[in-house]
Amino acid sequence: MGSDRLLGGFEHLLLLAILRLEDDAYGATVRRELIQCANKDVAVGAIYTGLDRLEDKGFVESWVGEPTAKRGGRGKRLYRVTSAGRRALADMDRAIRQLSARLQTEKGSARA
Amino acid sequence: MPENLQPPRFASRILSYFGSPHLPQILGDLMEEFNERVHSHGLSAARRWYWWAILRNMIALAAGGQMFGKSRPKTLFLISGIWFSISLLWVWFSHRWLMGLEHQSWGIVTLMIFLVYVVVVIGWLVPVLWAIIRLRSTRVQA
Repeated sequence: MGSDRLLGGFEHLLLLAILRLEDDAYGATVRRELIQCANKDVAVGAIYTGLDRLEDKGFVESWVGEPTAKRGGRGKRLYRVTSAGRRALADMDRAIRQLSARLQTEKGSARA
Repeated sequence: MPENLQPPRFASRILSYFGSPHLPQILGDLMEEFNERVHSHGLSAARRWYWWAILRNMIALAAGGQMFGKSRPKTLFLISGIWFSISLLWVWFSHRWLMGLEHQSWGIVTLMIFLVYVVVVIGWLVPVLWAIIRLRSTRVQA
């Protein structure tokens, strides 16, 4: 694998959700995305803990948006995937594809 | 937003004791979803959901180690205080209950109460001492 820092399963899902959401990725929208696409109902606090880990690894970057009345005068913390994050995702996808392909080959030879 | 459409303040205050660096964002996200749920499910259902969400977030922050961030000593004082109060109440009730009985072996009862006090004092002192040591080390580093 090219990246020396591995992605966990939850971190993988978080990165994919942020990529899908483009410029509107923050706690509540990431949570909604995980419920709709991955059928995972995760607390917002757990999402921020995972996003902190990703930020420490340099896979995402964040900034605080403008406060809104809808949120009780609190700003959103918006997230964006960095180029290192995209590389880690690509490495992870490649590793999964290779392992899955090898698994299918081994199953095929075992049947024969 | 009208006052009666606000999420339960006490619930938000409980979460603020955890001192997560993302507290404003978490409360903002929860408020956003609370507003959506008020319109789709009604106020009482939204309030019930909010309490449940606060509980889940407390567990998530504790599991993620965020409750032991900068506010670690504060949180430890809070936990030790709750533990101390509950334990003392339990001792008081159990003592009253035993005093009401015609008990033959007072020596054993006194010993039991003394042991409970020892457990209470250890359970209270250990986290308090830990918190003091951490506070001192934080000040030294600063």
